[in-house]
Amino acid sequence: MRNQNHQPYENWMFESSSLTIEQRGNLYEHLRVCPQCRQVQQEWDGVIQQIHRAPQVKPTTGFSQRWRMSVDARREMQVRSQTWKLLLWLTGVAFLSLFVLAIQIGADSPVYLIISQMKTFTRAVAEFFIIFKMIATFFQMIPSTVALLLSVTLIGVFSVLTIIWIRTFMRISKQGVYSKS
Amino acid sequence: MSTKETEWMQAAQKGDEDAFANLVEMYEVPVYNLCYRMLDNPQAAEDAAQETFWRAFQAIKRYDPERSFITWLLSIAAHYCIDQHRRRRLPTFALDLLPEESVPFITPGIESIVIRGEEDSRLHKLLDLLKPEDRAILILRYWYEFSEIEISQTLSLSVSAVKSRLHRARRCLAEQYRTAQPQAVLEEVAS
Repeated sequence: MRNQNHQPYENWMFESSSLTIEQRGNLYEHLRVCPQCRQVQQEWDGVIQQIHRAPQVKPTTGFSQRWRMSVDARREMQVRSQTWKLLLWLTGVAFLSLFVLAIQIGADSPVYLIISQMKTFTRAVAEFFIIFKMIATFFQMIPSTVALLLSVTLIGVFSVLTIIWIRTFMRISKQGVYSKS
Repeated sequence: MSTKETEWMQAAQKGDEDAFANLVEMYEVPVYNLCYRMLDNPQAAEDAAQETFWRAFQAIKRYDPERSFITWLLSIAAHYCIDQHRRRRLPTFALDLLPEESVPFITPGIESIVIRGEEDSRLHKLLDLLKPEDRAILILRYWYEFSEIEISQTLSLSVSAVKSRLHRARRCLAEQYRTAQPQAVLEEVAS
């Protein structure tokens, strides 16, 4: 293994095409007196010769046709992979739900579970009506022009969101989701 | 980029598959060559080049026309090949898997095919000694004559990292060259 005391000549040997005339002269002088660097220079010249002899390799004929033919297959594979991912995700969610349900059934009696679920549902409905009443009261309290403006804004936002959602749904069902890689 | 290329590019960005196929035809050699020099194997190179164009096609809408298209393509190819090196141990180069054609196009005799195959094999054995990133840097520098800045942009590295890796790669190749060469070749270089 060579020692490290041959700079900057070692760098110059590897980048000889970008040297100034003075640097070339200095390198030449150094190579004349330093057998170690002379050897590296010879070895590097050999590597460069070998690289220059190695041509640009072409693919076999019909590369672009093969690419064109593979596009449909790749798309199909992508859609299949997405379907599998969705299926796996849904299965995971279903298993998790079943797991939670099984724990609840194991902890409480089924009758108690049904009663508590009904209670939760009734409470949710009641709270929804309370929120609805609060919004209605809020609209009655504020000036009619502001209420009108707010209603139009809300309707506008929800319409735009709905359109975006429908367009996204149509795009995904038509093309599939492209990965970013 | 020529006018025709720009037209194909714009059409491809609008989803025109035929326009992109023209770009594939135009750039198949540099992309394939990079994959071949990175992976040693014609079949692996074909797969990698096909995958490169597929990834480019998927990402074409995000391509910035201000950037050189070939640099962008080679960047995708180089990253993919580096990833392949990391993922698996690649099969070694075999003479019977030589590619059918090479540039400059000549019709060589069997002897010259074998000699070239042996040279190629020796070169790949040398390149195999390098880390995948260093190998990609060296290939871009000597087969594509990319500057250090262009290499840094292609491989998403800093210029100083490219410089130090390039130096390390050259030094490694020079050190290993003697052991990898038959005596006749060494005598030829020394003369």
